[in-house]
Amino acid sequence: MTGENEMSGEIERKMGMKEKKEKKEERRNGKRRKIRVLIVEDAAYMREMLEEMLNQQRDRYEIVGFAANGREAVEKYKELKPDIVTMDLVMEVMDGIQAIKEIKGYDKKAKILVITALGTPEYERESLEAGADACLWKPFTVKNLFEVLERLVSEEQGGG
Amino acid sequence: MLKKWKKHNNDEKKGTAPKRGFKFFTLLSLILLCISLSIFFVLMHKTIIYTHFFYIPIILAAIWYKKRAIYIAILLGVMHIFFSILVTSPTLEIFMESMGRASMLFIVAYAIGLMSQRCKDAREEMKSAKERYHAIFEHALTALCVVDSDGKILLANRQFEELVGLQAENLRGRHWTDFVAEEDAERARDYCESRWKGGAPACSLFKFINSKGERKYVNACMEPIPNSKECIISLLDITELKNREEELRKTCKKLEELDKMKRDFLNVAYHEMRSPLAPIVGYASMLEMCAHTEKERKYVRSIERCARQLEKMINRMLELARIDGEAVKLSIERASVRKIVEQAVATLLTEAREKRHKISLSVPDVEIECDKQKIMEVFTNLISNAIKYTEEGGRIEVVVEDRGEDIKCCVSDTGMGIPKEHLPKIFERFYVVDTSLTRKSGSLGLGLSIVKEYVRMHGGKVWAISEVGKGSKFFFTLPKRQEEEKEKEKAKEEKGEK
Repeated sequence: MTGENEMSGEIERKMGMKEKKEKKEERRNGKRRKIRVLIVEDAAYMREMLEEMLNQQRDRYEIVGFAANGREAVEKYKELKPDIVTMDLVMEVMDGIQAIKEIKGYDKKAKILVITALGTPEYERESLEAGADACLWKPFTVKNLFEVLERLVSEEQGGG
Repeated sequence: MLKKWKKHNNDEKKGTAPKRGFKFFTLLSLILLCISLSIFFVLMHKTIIYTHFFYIPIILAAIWYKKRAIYIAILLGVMHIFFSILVTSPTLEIFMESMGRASMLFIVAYAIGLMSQRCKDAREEMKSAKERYHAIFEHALTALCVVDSDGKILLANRQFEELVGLQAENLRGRHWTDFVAEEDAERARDYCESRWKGGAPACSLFKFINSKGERKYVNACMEPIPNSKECIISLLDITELKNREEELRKTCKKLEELDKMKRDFLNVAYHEMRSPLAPIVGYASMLEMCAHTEKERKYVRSIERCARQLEKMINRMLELARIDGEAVKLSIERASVRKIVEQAVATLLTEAREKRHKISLSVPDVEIECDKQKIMEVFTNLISNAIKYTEEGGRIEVVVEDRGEDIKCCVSDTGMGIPKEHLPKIFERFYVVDTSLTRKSGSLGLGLSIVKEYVRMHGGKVWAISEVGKGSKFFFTLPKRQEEEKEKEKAKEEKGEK
């Protein structure tokens, strides 16, 4: 167990160093690194809208992929390693809560923003307990979305 | 005892009519014999000792005819005096003696007659008491039976016969617990034992199976009869009540299921209703950013505002469903009432300005334990109603009074007011004062229900007074401290002490 912990600690340290290096390079290049976002939504119209919204800040956010259910989300996360995941809760095959658990189990540092129409404190609690970092209730404005995304980004940077 | 009872009844039916003639003739012949004997003795032996014979008919008459025997005593006494005077020369001594003998006859007749009368009265009284109790026993609406110390039935009434479906003669010698259903048999035996000892609750519920195999629910009460080795058991047939109870229980269960189904449906429905609002609000907010003219911005804002209004209504319906399902929990913290009110008013300032209302606050700087969000919702709801139902340029006042243990809040307006007949119902769910087509739209009648529920959850009360055309005043109280917090503090104190 100790060995494993040490190993994972080492990997984390290496990853952190890699990230720092990247950031330094970015700064050197005179531009900010784009924040890579994975959109997890079962409704096509919502995927489309989120895409439109994020495209308003193209130079800041980059959509790396879409997933229509939890299972797909986990697979895509492993494949794409996005900075932020926007996660719906009600989805076929695997629901959002389970997907959050699996993603967090895979990568503790994953930043997950829950975007759902199940706007009750119970679901908020459940999502946060599963490991989500923030919740955004539908309906929301473009301003609401960027506010919460920026908060997550600053948390990540602060934490990093 | 059962046998005895029947025998007794039969005797009564046969009656004493044929005996009456026998008694009369016996007595008559005895009297005639006595008279003939006395005549014989008087004429032959010139003596009056024969009077001793007179006691026989007199005693018999006293036994049979009670006090009426005195007439016979008088008749025989007078005859005796008459004969004694007739036989001997009438001296004072003889006269006195015969008088004495005659008096003895009266006394004997009277004493025995009286005794006999008393005996008869007592017998009759006993008989009538027996009849009375028999009637009560037989006509009681409860099944009754008398059992011996072994629990064997000695006597049973008609209701009991009907309950078990057997005639009295077939019940003799049977144990009352023979009719208790197998699953209750042991409990019934235990009950009997403890009742004999004077323990156990007086009544107990058992399942009975009668001779036709029908199952019945009976409430049994076993009571030992004082100074005897017998017990009286009353059995109240509550089968019908039980069946109804069962029906009610089933209905209740069904209602609970339906209620759960309703809640589940509402939860799903709210999600599905809210989902399409997301692109409406989302795209509207994007359109607003890229709108070129003020007109375009105005249109887009209108879309967004209406979508938000719809969202608010959906949220309220969901919140009430959650309250019903007891899913709403308070998150208690210490909060300044003034800050809560100020925040609530701040969210409504635009609406108030649009209608040129004047809002004045008189809130002391007091802290209470409450769920900040929910209390803000209460104030927002009440102030928003005041804004909505008051004509332009109205006056809205929020007054909070610190009363020591609790606070009393009042939101008053100079609006249209609420008719008296509606006042008691305005806090009820879905209650809308005006349902006509000319009503002021934009209300589902849920806001005040939520206010009431939130205040209730905090342990407060809510009420309203109003006068049509002059305005309304909505009051609510909130305790300064919440039980949960108090308990936490107690626990802390206890820990500290340890």
